[in-house]
Amino acid sequence: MKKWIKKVLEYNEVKLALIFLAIVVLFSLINPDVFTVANLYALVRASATNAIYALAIMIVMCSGAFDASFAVIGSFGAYVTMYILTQNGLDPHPAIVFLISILICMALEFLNWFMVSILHLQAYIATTGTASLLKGAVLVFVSTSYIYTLPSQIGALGKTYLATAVYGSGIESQLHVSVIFIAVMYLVMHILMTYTNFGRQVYAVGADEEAAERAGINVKRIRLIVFLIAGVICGVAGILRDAVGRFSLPNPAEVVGKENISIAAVILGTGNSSKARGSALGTLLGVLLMSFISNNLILIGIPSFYVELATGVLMYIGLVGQMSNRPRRHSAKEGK
Amino acid sequence: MNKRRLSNSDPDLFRLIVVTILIFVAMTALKPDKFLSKANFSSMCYQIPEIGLYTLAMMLILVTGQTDISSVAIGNLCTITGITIMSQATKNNVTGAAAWLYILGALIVMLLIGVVCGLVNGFTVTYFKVPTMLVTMATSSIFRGIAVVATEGNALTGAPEELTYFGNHGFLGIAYAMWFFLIIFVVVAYLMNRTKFGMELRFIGSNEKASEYAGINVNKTLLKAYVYSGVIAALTGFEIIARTDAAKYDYGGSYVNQALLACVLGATNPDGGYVRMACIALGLASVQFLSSGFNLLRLGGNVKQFAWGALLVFVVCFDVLNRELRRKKAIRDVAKKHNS
Repeated sequence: MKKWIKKVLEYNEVKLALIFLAIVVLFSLINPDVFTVANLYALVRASATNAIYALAIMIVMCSGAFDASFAVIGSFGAYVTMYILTQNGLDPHPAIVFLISILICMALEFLNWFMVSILHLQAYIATTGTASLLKGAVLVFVSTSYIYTLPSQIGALGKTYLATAVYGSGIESQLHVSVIFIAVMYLVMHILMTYTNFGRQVYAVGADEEAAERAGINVKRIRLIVFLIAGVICGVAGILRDAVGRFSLPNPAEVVGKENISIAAVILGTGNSSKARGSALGTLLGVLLMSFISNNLILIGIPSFYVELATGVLMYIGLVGQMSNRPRRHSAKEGK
Repeated sequence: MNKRRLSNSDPDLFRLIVVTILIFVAMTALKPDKFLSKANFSSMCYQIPEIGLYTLAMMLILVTGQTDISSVAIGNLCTITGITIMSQATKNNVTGAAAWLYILGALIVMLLIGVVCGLVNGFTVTYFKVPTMLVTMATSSIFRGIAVVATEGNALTGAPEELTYFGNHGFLGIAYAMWFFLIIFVVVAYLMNRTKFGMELRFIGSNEKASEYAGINVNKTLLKAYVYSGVIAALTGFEIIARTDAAKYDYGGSYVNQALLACVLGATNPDGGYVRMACIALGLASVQFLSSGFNLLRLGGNVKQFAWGALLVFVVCFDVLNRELRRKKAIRDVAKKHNS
């Protein structure tokens, strides 16, 4: 029995889930309103966008690369899509809206792949360049104005709720339809990363590029697919943010510049680029933990400007925690 | 004749001189009366030190093949602490030598914070073997978070006039801030080119494992580099207090990208191991000429943001292709020699 517990505890996901539970209990003791269905619905709504963006950066980091531009690409794709549609007075089926955004994002991620995998540039530096370029380009070449009237069916999507719950104070909170998007995308990613040959190859490339190449894996092709998948995810996340937020703007402040929340979630879920262990489940727990803390600090009476500090500390703990139980390199000892 | 020799013997420097002159000429042609004016040059003298110091802080880590994005966060944490201490002097109406004691005390505390922040970064990178970019992303969130919590998001002011005088006046027609930067630049150049530390840092950047087998204490050298980087960030904070008499947690967020651009434009190899101080100086000048030129042309922050990104992408792509061509040429030359 004891052995069994020990084995379960070795899984990072289990540890993370326990930490999450502990924090939920702690917060609930301070303010009982935290532990309510209504608050859970609010959490889903607040974390929807970050949860999906985290998947994009997760798969890129699993393949041993990095992308500093994922949030900008998603916002760019969504805003340009909305701009084109509203300027031409089009109101297509939501699937087509998503498709346009996805295609734009895939094209941009292709550019990132080209720089990272073909030119062998430092992933962080190259994608920082892309991010800065796109952030400026959308304002200079497209538009700076907010788009308040979205295509009607996307607008309707933003107002679709699955359920309603009531806080103790009588205020209503609704379960947004984006929870279905999150569930489906995480399920698909989980299956893709865990049960398919492709998923195994992504982990292999991330663990050791050279070894993967010699084992017969086409590293460039795997990375290309990884970046394109990231593009698809960014495209969906961008449109979904607009739907949830009910308006579209060039560089939404809760996404662009807040990339570290998604990255921290991935790191907490052990999607670390130098170790290449990461999972959809771990990332989901990471996102929930990050969103729960930033969403509920105010409910237990801590001012919201502690969020940045909490993000940093959690990210640091995540980094150090998973690196410290890794076997030390021999060469490091010989150096002393 | 002279030019041709330079282009062969030192292609990086030659290329940068050409780029800098081109930008200078282009900006002069677009706004001749304003760009060449004395006011423009003196305002550039006040802007270069900040971005220049952050560039030096970034360069020290970039030469090891890693990217440190926490310098600006360290700098802001230092300005906030520094100004909190210095404003005591203003509050108590202390002037003259006594005010300088406050300033000196603030400077020492700021340098200590720089050292501690550098140690945190360096220790995490060397001991836990985590990629620098991720570490500094986390630590800059922490440093910025501390700054936000300490100030509740407000801007602080109240540095003594003794200090702000130096931030806004010049000596021999050049701003004191510029002299400050030049001194630090020369010290860093000496450190990189003439000391064992600088050589070791380059070796580590080009091949960490080989450096270790060559008997270099890699961890110690890296730790030193992070501490120096933190100290430079703290000195930047000091310069910012002197010039602006203000401290805010999110001051100068765009400096990270500009510093990265100046480093890469200045022929620093992002994969590590190669840095030329003269090229860094020219890279900085190019970035500043562009920035000032954009301001004079009344192109706003959005255009600049776009330009920095586009330039960064262009420069790193160009460098890689250039290096590849050079490598192929070298192989061809060797083959030719071998055959003849």
